[in-house]
Amino acid sequence: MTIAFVVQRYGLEINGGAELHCRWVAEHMLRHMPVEVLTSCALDYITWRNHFPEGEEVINGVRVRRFPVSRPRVPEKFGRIQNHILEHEHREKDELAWLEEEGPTSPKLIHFLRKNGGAYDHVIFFSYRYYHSYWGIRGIPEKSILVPTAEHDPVIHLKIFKDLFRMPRAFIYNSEEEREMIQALSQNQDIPGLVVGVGTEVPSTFSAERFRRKHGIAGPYIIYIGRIDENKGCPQLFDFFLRFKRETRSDVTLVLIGNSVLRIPSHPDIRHLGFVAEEDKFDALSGAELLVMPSFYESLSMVVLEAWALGRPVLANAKCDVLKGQCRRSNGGLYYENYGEFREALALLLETPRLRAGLGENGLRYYHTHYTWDIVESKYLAVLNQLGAQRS
Amino acid sequence: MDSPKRNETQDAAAIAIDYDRVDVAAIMDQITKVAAAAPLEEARLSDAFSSSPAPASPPGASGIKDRIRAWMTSLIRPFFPLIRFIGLPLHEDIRATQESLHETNKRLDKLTEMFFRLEEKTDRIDRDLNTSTEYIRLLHNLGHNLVVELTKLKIEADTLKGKFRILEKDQDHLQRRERALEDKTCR
Repeated sequence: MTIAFVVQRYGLEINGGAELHCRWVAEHMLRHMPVEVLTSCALDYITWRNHFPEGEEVINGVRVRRFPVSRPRVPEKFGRIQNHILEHEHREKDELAWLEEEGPTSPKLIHFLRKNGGAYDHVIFFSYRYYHSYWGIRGIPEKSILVPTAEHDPVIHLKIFKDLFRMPRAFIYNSEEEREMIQALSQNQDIPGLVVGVGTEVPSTFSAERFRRKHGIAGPYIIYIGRIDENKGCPQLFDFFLRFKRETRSDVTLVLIGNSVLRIPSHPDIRHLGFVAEEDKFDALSGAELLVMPSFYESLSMVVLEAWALGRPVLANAKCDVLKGQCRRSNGGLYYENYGEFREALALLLETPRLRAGLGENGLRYYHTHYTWDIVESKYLAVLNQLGAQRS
Repeated sequence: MDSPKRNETQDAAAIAIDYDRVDVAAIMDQITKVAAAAPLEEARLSDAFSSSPAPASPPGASGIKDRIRAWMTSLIRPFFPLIRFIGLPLHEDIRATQESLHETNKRLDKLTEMFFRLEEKTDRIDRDLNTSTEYIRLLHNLGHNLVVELTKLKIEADTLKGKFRILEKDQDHLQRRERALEDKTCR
């Protein structure tokens, strides 16, 4: 059995989102069967400009075929078209123009799939909203499996996607909430869909002390890991945290790890460390009182799984259904919808080590039950075998 | 001034937790109730993200504001139909402007497309130019080498000519000697 993964970008330089998710799954599935990845030559997700050379290369044992992007995205034009289709009456061809503009537009990739799709037993597409998934699945629907990585994003309501969600042979979802959302939108309950997510690996050694020494952090701290961005709810987190500090005079520090695309308030108890190595990240996470995840849109938060893998509790934004659902199912974290709940939940967590420990233990159990790589791989294999049996 | 810090302990105490079987849903129900009951100390700082209600105005100020608002409303009420009448063409104007902006945007999109096509063409010409420059440089080198080789050949030809003249002279001398010897031998 040979499988192909199709994803918008691929490479060791890409350290987050669906692309990293795809790379990890591809590398783990390589243990069971030959795996190929079909992707674009892009590195930058804003313009999709060609960066990598066209052709084949091997990354961590996985053969990767790259296809050029025929034209880069013009962000201003894309923004205009998106506003138009989200705010005005429009036709399907407008939605297709939006998809074309969103990119990464790589007709060669689609042509390759149509011509050589027969060489693969299954083709697993990552991220429903991009050019490669829409046209790729239409090209070989009988072999397609979609990992939608969908969030509560307004574009999911576009008509072209309702049709798309009825085409693949199977779905691999990141969460129960994602499955409910897509099934409610497209009524595709007859298509098999399994909630799998992604595994995570914890380094064998990590040390909170090493992190504190290296960065000069004393006292309790809570941590946010990820891109520091408006879409991730960071401005709200800063606002809530500073109000919490003013009202409670807590000595807690907020440690931020990740690249920032917005201005971070200048405050002695907000420490931005920028992008750090994996080792540093796990060191930091292991010493944190809790991980705070303020994002409004997540299809699956890998860093939340990493926190649970280390037995750390989570404080998440309840406006994100997925995060709230995971906290409730795992009993591994609290959540907030407004400042009042943020204040009460954070104060309760900081004051009650037993609660933190209990939530952390629950999170760890949840991780071991659902998100170790053995379990994720076995779920992928189950889907592939089921489809293989149906076909034969 | 330690009072703020103590709210937490009170809240923590107010929330019942079964530590043996931590139930997030049950804890969150209690937190929601506590949060709803607790007055927000800094309500004036509530921002667009917060779902907390906007702070109420002081009663006195509110009374004056209401009276002024009522007076203003009664003053302009007779002109409401006229205001609507003025508003309609304005709305039409806005619609027309929006349409025009949309058209402009579409033209801009076309121009951007053209710009990209031109950029591609320029890139192609640039590549061709680079190839031609390289070719010319090679030709120049070739010409230079040919000149050097021809010069060397000319020098060599001159040398050979010199050698040839010497050999001719030697031959003349030998022939003269030969004739002299023949004369002597015959005699």
